[in-house]
Amino acid sequence: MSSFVCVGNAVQPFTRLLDAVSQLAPKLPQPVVVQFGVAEKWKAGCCEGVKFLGMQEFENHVDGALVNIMHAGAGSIIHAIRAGKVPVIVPRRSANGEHVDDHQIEFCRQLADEPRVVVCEDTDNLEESVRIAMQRQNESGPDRKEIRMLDLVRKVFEQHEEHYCHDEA
Amino acid sequence: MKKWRENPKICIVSSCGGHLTEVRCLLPIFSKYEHFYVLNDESILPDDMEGKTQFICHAERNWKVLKNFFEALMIIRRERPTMILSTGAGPIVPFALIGKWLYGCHVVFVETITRVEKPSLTGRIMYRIADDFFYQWSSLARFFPRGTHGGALI
Repeated sequence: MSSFVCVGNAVQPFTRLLDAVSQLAPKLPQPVVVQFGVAEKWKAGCCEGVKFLGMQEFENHVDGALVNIMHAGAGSIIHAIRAGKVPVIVPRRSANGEHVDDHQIEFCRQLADEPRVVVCEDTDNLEESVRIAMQRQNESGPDRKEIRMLDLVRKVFEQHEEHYCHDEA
Repeated sequence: MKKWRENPKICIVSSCGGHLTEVRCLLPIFSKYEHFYVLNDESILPDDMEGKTQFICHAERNWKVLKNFFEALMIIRRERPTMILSTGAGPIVPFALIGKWLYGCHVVFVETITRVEKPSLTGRIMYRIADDFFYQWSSLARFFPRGTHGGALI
């Protein structure tokens, strides 16, 4: 089993997270695969670095990793949860030049009580966050939460099909 | 309304990355209908998207948005979808406008899960266009009084 770290394809680098991962990497399940994005000056060290990943490759890495550490991008988090993983999510801060605004921080604070993720705003706490995430992942079963949005959207589609198929020209 | 086809055909418009993953949370719903994707960047795609994905140019709130309008016209005219679905980002706007105004498409938009306190720019625009507008966090209710709070997609 491996560890997977991803920072997404934002145009701003996320050096703060990458440096924290470099420090922690020797203690993580090996190999440590890091999708480092636009931070081209970051030194991979003992990690395997890759700049960007296609969707299928990204999903494969998440699925195969024991530890997932991610920037707080929706796609990354959604896939990890649906794959039954408990990711450590680290929001980008606009004050550090890590993103255009602080919506990742807002998103993380909304998920503060969500047991299916571990929010880590301060990368000094990364090691502890990884420990908590691994413990929760061991304890959790498959993701079975009811998603009300699916029912609402399904109803729209069914009405569209009925309306469209039976509509008079 | 004139019927272009006998059965629904769904056009899913998305930027690559998080928005694509987010809209594919709805795959259990739209996969039972004929559907195709429009993405704004080439990417290695999951197997089920091969052969049913078209690519438009990547615009970032610049002049390339005009090109997206032209691309939307060409694609919708050729494919004749009955419904257009998206969670963002910007590429949906030309498709929603062209699809709805010129071809009578039903437009469904779901505001992204990442917008908790304030809506996205795409969300604000699509609120005025979409036939069905959903948002995920109740904190956005005051921005979308005629929208539907559906809860989080996760």
